[in-house]
Amino acid sequence: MCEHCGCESKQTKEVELERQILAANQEIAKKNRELFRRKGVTVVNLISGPGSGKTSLLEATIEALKDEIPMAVIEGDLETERDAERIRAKGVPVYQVTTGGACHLDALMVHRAFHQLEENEFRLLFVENVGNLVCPSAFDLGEDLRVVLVSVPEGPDKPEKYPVSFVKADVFCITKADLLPYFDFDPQKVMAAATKINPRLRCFVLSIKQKETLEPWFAFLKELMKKG
Amino acid sequence: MHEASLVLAMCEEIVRLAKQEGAKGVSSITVRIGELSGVEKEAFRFAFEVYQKGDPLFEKAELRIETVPAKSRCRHCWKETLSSPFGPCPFCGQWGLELVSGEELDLVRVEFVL
Repeated sequence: MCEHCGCESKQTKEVELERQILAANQEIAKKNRELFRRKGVTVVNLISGPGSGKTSLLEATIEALKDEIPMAVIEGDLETERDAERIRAKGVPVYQVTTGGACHLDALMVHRAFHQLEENEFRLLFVENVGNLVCPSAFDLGEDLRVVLVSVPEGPDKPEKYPVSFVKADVFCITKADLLPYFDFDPQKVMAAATKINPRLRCFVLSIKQKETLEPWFAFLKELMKKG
Repeated sequence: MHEASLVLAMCEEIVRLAKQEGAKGVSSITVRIGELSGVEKEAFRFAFEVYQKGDPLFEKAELRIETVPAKSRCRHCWKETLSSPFGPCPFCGQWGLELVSGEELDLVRVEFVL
Protein backbone atom coordinates (compact mmCIF):
# COMPACT_ATOMS: atom_id res chain seq x y z
CA MET A 1 0.00 0.00 0.00
CA CYS A 2 1.16 3.52 -0.79
CA GLU A 3 2.24 5.17 2.45
CA HIS A 4 1.20 8.73 1.51
CA CYS A 5 -2.38 8.56 0.33
CA GLY A 6 -3.56 5.14 1.49
CA CYS A 7 -4.31 3.98 -2.05
CA GLU A 8 -4.26 0.30 -2.96
CA SER A 9 -1.25 0.43 -5.26
CA LYS A 10 1.36 -2.07 -4.17
CA GLN A 11 4.97 -2.25 -5.14
CA THR A 12 5.93 -5.84 -5.61
CA LYS A 13 8.95 -7.74 -6.78
CA GLU A 14 9.09 -11.25 -8.09
CA VAL A 15 12.22 -13.28 -7.40
CA GLU A 16 12.94 -16.36 -9.50
CA LEU A 17 14.77 -18.88 -7.38
CA GLU A 18 14.76 -22.42 -8.80
CA ARG A 19 16.23 -23.57 -5.52
CA GLN A 20 15.81 -26.94 -3.84
CA ILE A 21 14.03 -26.63 -0.52
CA LEU A 22 16.42 -29.25 0.80
CA ALA A 23 19.41 -27.44 -0.74
CA ALA A 24 20.75 -26.52 2.68
CA ASN A 25 20.80 -30.20 3.69
CA GLN A 26 22.44 -31.18 0.38
CA GLU A 27 25.13 -28.58 0.92
CA ILE A 28 25.93 -29.82 4.44
CA ALA A 29 25.83 -33.46 3.27
CA LYS A 30 28.44 -32.60 0.66
CA LYS A 31 30.64 -30.99 3.32
CA ASN A 32 30.16 -34.05 5.55
CA ARG A 33 31.30 -36.30 2.73
CA GLU A 34 34.48 -34.24 2.29
CA LEU A 35 35.07 -34.19 6.07
CA PHE A 36 34.62 -37.96 6.40
CA ARG A 37 36.98 -38.58 3.48
CA ARG A 38 39.61 -36.27 4.96
CA LYS A 39 39.41 -38.08 8.29
CA GLY A 40 39.53 -41.49 6.59
CA VAL A 41 36.16 -42.55 8.01
CA THR A 42 33.65 -44.73 6.15
CA VAL A 43 30.06 -43.88 7.08
CA VAL A 44 27.13 -46.31 6.95
CA ASN A 45 23.56 -45.02 7.34
CA LEU A 46 21.07 -47.60 8.69
CA ILE A 47 17.41 -47.03 7.77
CA SER A 48 14.37 -49.08 8.80
CA GLY A 49 11.03 -48.91 10.55
CA PRO A 50 11.08 -49.02 14.36
CA GLY A 51 11.96 -52.42 15.79
CA SER A 52 13.58 -53.99 12.71
CA GLY A 53 16.70 -54.75 14.71
CA LYS A 54 19.10 -51.96 13.76
CA THR A 55 20.56 -51.69 17.25
CA SER A 56 20.75 -55.47 17.70
CA LEU A 57 22.57 -55.88 14.39
CA LEU A 58 24.97 -53.12 15.46
CA GLU A 59 25.62 -54.83 18.81
CA ALA A 60 26.44 -58.11 17.03
CA THR A 61 28.60 -56.31 14.46
CA ILE A 62 30.55 -54.44 17.13
CA GLU A 63 31.13 -57.63 19.11
CA ALA A 64 32.51 -59.40 16.06
CA LEU A 65 34.55 -56.65 14.43
CA LYS A 66 35.55 -54.02 16.96
CA ASP A 67 39.06 -55.45 17.46
CA GLU A 68 39.65 -55.48 13.73
CA ILE A 69 37.95 -52.22 12.71
CA PRO A 70 37.84 -49.23 15.07
CA MET A 71 34.20 -48.15 15.11
CA ALA A 72 31.89 -45.45 16.43
CA VAL A 73 28.12 -45.01 16.36
CA ILE A 74 25.71 -42.10 16.08
CA GLU A 75 22.27 -42.99 17.39
CA GLY A 76 19.14 -41.14 16.27
CA ASP A 77 15.91 -41.35 18.25
CA LEU A 78 13.06 -39.05 19.14
CA GLU A 79 13.80 -39.44 22.84
CA THR A 80 15.98 -41.33 25.36
CA GLU A 81 19.61 -42.45 25.54
CA ARG A 82 18.58 -46.10 25.54
CA ASP A 83 20.16 -47.18 22.28
CA ALA A 84 23.35 -45.26 23.06
CA GLU A 85 23.58 -47.07 26.41
CA ARG A 86 23.27 -50.43 24.65
CA ILE A 87 26.08 -49.52 22.23
CA ARG A 88 28.24 -47.99 24.98
CA ALA A 89 28.01 -51.26 26.88
CA LYS A 90 29.74 -52.90 23.91
CA GLY A 91 32.72 -50.61 24.37
CA VAL A 92 32.65 -48.29 21.37
CA PRO A 93 32.26 -44.49 21.33
CA VAL A 94 28.67 -43.44 20.73
CA TYR A 95 26.78 -40.18 20.50
CA GLN A 96 23.01 -40.04 20.89
CA VAL A 97 21.07 -37.47 18.87
CA THR A 98 17.58 -36.97 20.26
CA THR A 99 15.57 -35.23 17.59
CA GLY A 100 12.76 -34.33 20.00
CA GLY A 101 10.07 -35.18 17.47
CA ALA A 102 11.75 -34.91 14.08
CA CYS A 103 11.17 -38.08 12.06
CA HIS A 104 14.64 -38.28 10.50
CA LEU A 105 18.28 -37.29 11.00
CA ASP A 106 19.56 -34.51 8.78
CA ALA A 107 23.09 -33.69 7.65
CA LEU A 108 23.60 -30.94 10.25
CA MET A 109 22.66 -33.22 13.17
CA VAL A 110 25.17 -35.79 11.92
CA HIS A 111 27.81 -33.11 11.41
CA ARG A 112 27.50 -31.91 15.00
CA ALA A 113 27.45 -35.45 16.34
CA PHE A 114 30.60 -36.26 14.35
CA HIS A 115 32.47 -33.41 16.03
CA GLN A 116 31.42 -34.79 19.42
CA LEU A 117 32.99 -38.14 18.53
CA GLU A 118 36.02 -36.82 16.68
CA GLU A 119 38.51 -37.13 19.58
CA ASN A 120 38.10 -40.92 19.39
CA GLU A 121 39.98 -43.07 16.91
CA PHE A 122 37.65 -44.80 14.48
CA ARG A 123 37.51 -45.73 10.81
CA LEU A 124 33.94 -47.00 10.49
CA LEU A 125 31.01 -44.89 11.64
CA PHE A 126 27.50 -46.29 11.81
CA VAL A 127 24.61 -43.84 11.84
CA GLU A 128 21.48 -45.47 13.17
CA ASN A 129 18.68 -43.32 11.80
CA VAL A 130 15.37 -42.64 13.53
CA GLY A 131 13.11 -45.70 13.20
CA ASN A 132 11.10 -44.75 10.11
CA LEU A 133 11.11 -46.32 6.65
CA VAL A 134 9.88 -43.18 4.89
CA CYS A 135 11.42 -39.83 5.83
CA PRO A 136 15.10 -40.66 6.42
CA SER A 137 15.34 -41.67 2.74
CA ALA A 138 14.91 -38.06 1.65
CA PHE A 139 17.89 -36.80 3.67
CA ASP A 140 21.44 -37.34 2.45
CA LEU A 141 23.74 -37.37 5.48
CA GLY A 142 26.96 -37.58 3.48
CA GLU A 143 27.21 -41.33 4.05
CA ASP A 144 29.20 -43.73 1.86
CA LEU A 145 26.73 -46.55 2.15
CA ARG A 146 23.02 -46.70 2.83
CA VAL A 147 21.56 -49.85 4.33
CA VAL A 148 17.83 -50.51 4.49
CA LEU A 149 16.56 -53.22 6.89
CA VAL A 150 13.27 -55.13 7.01
CA SER A 151 12.61 -57.75 9.68
CA VAL A 152 10.68 -60.93 8.90
CA PRO A 153 7.68 -60.08 11.16
CA GLU A 154 7.15 -56.79 9.28
CA GLY A 155 5.99 -58.74 6.25
CA PRO A 156 7.26 -59.45 2.74
CA ASP A 157 5.69 -56.51 0.90
CA LYS A 158 7.92 -53.69 2.14
CA PRO A 159 9.94 -53.24 -1.09
CA GLU A 160 6.72 -52.77 -3.09
CA LYS A 161 5.12 -50.53 -0.46
CA TYR A 162 8.14 -48.33 0.23
CA PRO A 163 10.00 -48.41 -3.09
CA VAL A 164 11.67 -45.03 -2.61
CA SER A 165 13.61 -46.31 0.42
CA PHE A 166 14.95 -49.19 -1.68
CA VAL A 167 15.77 -47.13 -4.75
CA LYS A 168 18.15 -44.98 -2.72
CA ALA A 169 19.83 -47.80 -0.77
CA ASP A 170 23.02 -49.76 -1.51
CA VAL A 171 22.37 -52.71 0.78
CA PHE A 172 19.22 -54.55 1.85
CA CYS A 173 19.25 -56.65 5.04
CA ILE A 174 16.42 -59.00 5.93
CA THR A 175 16.68 -59.39 9.71
CA LYS A 176 15.23 -61.78 12.33
CA ALA A 177 15.60 -64.62 9.83
CA ASP A 178 15.31 -67.12 12.73
CA LEU A 179 11.56 -66.32 12.62
CA LEU A 180 11.15 -67.41 8.98
CA PRO A 181 9.45 -70.72 9.95
CA TYR A 182 6.61 -68.78 11.62
CA PHE A 183 5.81 -66.25 8.88
CA ASP A 184 4.76 -66.28 5.23
CA PHE A 185 7.96 -64.59 4.18
CA ASP A 186 9.96 -65.98 1.29
CA PRO A 187 13.32 -64.18 1.46
CA GLN A 188 14.18 -65.09 -2.14
CA LYS A 189 10.96 -63.49 -3.40
CA VAL A 190 11.44 -60.40 -1.22
CA MET A 191 15.03 -59.96 -2.42
CA ALA A 192 13.87 -60.41 -6.02
CA ALA A 193 11.22 -57.72 -5.53
CA ALA A 194 13.82 -55.37 -4.04
CA THR A 195 16.42 -55.93 -6.76
CA LYS A 196 13.81 -55.42 -9.45
CA ILE A 197 13.30 -51.94 -8.04
CA ASN A 198 17.04 -51.40 -7.59
CA PRO A 199 19.36 -53.82 -9.41
CA ARG A 200 22.41 -52.41 -7.54
CA LEU A 201 21.21 -53.69 -4.14
CA ARG A 202 23.44 -56.12 -2.22
CA CYS A 203 21.16 -58.38 -0.16
CA PHE A 204 21.73 -60.24 3.11
CA VAL A 205 19.48 -62.54 5.15
CA LEU A 206 20.53 -62.20 8.79
CA SER A 207 19.68 -63.36 12.28
CA ILE A 208 21.62 -62.35 15.36
CA LYS A 209 20.36 -65.60 16.96
CA GLN A 210 22.06 -67.65 14.25
CA LYS A 211 25.59 -66.29 14.23
CA GLU A 212 26.62 -68.11 11.04
CA THR A 213 24.11 -66.01 9.03
CA LEU A 214 26.06 -62.88 9.98
CA GLU A 215 29.34 -63.99 8.38
CA PRO A 216 28.57 -62.68 4.85
CA TRP A 217 27.63 -59.28 6.36
CA PHE A 218 30.89 -59.15 8.34
CA ALA A 219 32.89 -60.18 5.26
CA PHE A 220 31.15 -57.45 3.27
CA LEU A 221 32.06 -54.80 5.87
CA LYS A 222 35.69 -55.95 5.98
CA GLU A 223 35.83 -55.73 2.19
CA LEU A 224 34.28 -52.26 2.32
CA MET A 225 36.97 -51.14 4.78
CA LYS A 226 39.74 -52.49 2.55
CA LYS A 227 38.46 -50.35 -0.29
CA GLY A 228 38.36 -47.40 2.13
CA MET B 1 6.00 -37.18 6.14
CA HIS B 2 7.97 -34.22 7.50
CA GLU B 3 6.08 -31.46 5.70
CA ALA B 4 6.22 -29.15 8.73
CA SER B 5 10.03 -29.16 8.82
CA LEU B 6 10.15 -28.61 5.05
CA VAL B 7 7.82 -25.63 5.32
CA LEU B 8 10.03 -24.29 8.09
CA ALA B 9 13.17 -24.66 5.93
CA MET B 10 11.41 -22.93 3.04
CA CYS B 11 10.13 -20.04 5.15
CA GLU B 12 13.52 -19.50 6.80
CA GLU B 13 15.01 -19.13 3.33
CA ILE B 14 12.26 -16.69 2.31
CA VAL B 15 12.75 -14.62 5.50
CA ARG B 16 16.44 -14.33 4.62
CA LEU B 17 15.55 -13.19 1.08
CA ALA B 18 12.93 -10.76 2.33
CA LYS B 19 15.56 -9.03 4.46
CA GLN B 20 17.87 -8.85 1.46
CA GLU B 21 15.11 -7.29 -0.67
CA GLY B 22 13.90 -5.04 2.14
CA ALA B 23 10.40 -6.49 1.69
CA LYS B 24 7.46 -5.77 3.98
CA GLY B 25 5.60 -8.93 3.15
CA VAL B 26 5.26 -11.93 0.90
CA SER B 27 2.36 -12.02 -1.55
CA SER B 28 2.94 -15.34 -3.24
CA ILE B 29 5.19 -18.41 -3.10
CA THR B 30 5.47 -20.94 -5.92
CA VAL B 31 6.82 -24.40 -5.14
CA ARG B 32 7.31 -27.41 -7.37
CA ILE B 33 6.56 -30.78 -5.82
CA GLY B 34 7.42 -34.04 -7.58
CA GLU B 35 5.01 -36.95 -7.37
CA LEU B 36 7.74 -39.07 -5.78
CA SER B 37 9.27 -36.43 -3.54
CA GLY B 38 7.42 -38.04 -0.64
CA VAL B 39 5.77 -34.72 0.09
CA GLU B 40 2.02 -34.72 0.50
CA LYS B 41 0.66 -31.54 -1.11
CA GLU B 42 -2.23 -31.11 1.32
CA ALA B 43 -0.01 -31.69 4.36
CA PHE B 44 2.46 -29.14 2.98
CA ARG B 45 -0.33 -26.62 2.48
CA PHE B 46 -1.70 -27.26 5.97
CA ALA B 47 1.74 -26.86 7.57
CA PHE B 48 2.18 -23.59 5.65
CA GLU B 49 -1.19 -22.27 6.85
CA VAL B 50 -0.15 -22.98 10.44
CA TYR B 51 3.22 -21.26 9.94
CA GLN B 52 1.52 -18.31 8.27
CA LYS B 53 -0.51 -17.53 11.40
CA GLY B 54 2.66 -17.14 13.43
CA ASP B 55 4.63 -14.85 11.13
CA PRO B 56 3.15 -11.52 9.91
CA LEU B 57 5.55 -11.49 6.95
CA PHE B 58 3.57 -14.39 5.47
CA GLU B 59 0.09 -13.26 6.58
CA LYS B 60 -1.22 -12.51 3.07
CA ALA B 61 0.92 -14.96 1.12
CA GLU B 62 -0.67 -17.28 -1.38
CA LEU B 63 0.94 -20.70 -1.77
CA ARG B 64 1.00 -22.02 -5.35
CA ILE B 65 1.95 -25.64 -5.88
CA GLU B 66 3.06 -27.04 -9.24
CA THR B 67 3.06 -30.83 -9.46
CA VAL B 68 5.68 -32.73 -11.47
CA PRO B 69 4.75 -36.22 -12.67
CA ALA B 70 7.15 -39.12 -12.16
CA LYS B 71 8.88 -39.76 -15.46
CA SER B 72 11.38 -42.54 -15.95
CA ARG B 73 13.65 -43.91 -18.66
CA CYS B 74 14.27 -47.58 -19.44
CA ARG B 75 17.88 -48.70 -18.99
CA HIS B 76 17.41 -51.18 -21.84
CA CYS B 77 15.41 -49.53 -24.64
CA TRP B 78 15.96 -45.90 -23.50
CA LYS B 79 12.30 -44.97 -23.97
CA GLU B 80 10.69 -42.59 -21.51
CA THR B 81 7.45 -43.37 -19.70
CA LEU B 82 5.04 -41.90 -17.17
CA SER B 83 4.01 -45.30 -15.86
CA SER B 84 5.23 -46.45 -12.41
CA PRO B 85 9.04 -46.29 -12.15
CA PHE B 86 8.86 -49.27 -9.79
CA GLY B 87 7.42 -51.61 -12.40
CA PRO B 88 8.69 -53.05 -15.69
CA CYS B 89 9.18 -50.94 -18.83
CA PRO B 90 5.81 -50.67 -20.66
CA PHE B 91 7.61 -50.79 -24.04
CA CYS B 92 10.12 -53.64 -23.79
CA GLY B 93 8.84 -55.36 -20.62
CA GLN B 94 12.23 -55.40 -18.88
CA TRP B 95 12.85 -54.20 -15.33
CA GLY B 96 15.21 -51.36 -14.58
CA LEU B 97 13.46 -48.03 -15.04
CA GLU B 98 15.47 -45.01 -13.93
CA LEU B 99 13.75 -41.95 -12.58
CA VAL B 100 14.23 -38.82 -14.71
CA SER B 101 11.89 -36.47 -12.86
CA GLY B 102 9.36 -36.53 -10.05
CA GLU B 103 11.59 -36.12 -7.01
CA GLU B 104 11.59 -32.32 -7.13
CA LEU B 105 10.97 -30.17 -4.11
CA ASP B 106 11.87 -26.72 -5.32
CA LEU B 107 11.14 -23.18 -4.32
CA VAL B 108 10.51 -21.68 -7.75
CA ARG B 109 9.43 -18.08 -7.23
CA VAL B 110 8.58 -15.63 -4.47
CA GLU B 111 6.65 -12.40 -4.88
CA PHE B 112 7.49 -9.78 -2.27
CA VAL B 113 5.60 -6.64 -1.22
CA LEU B 114 8.13 -3.84 -0.99
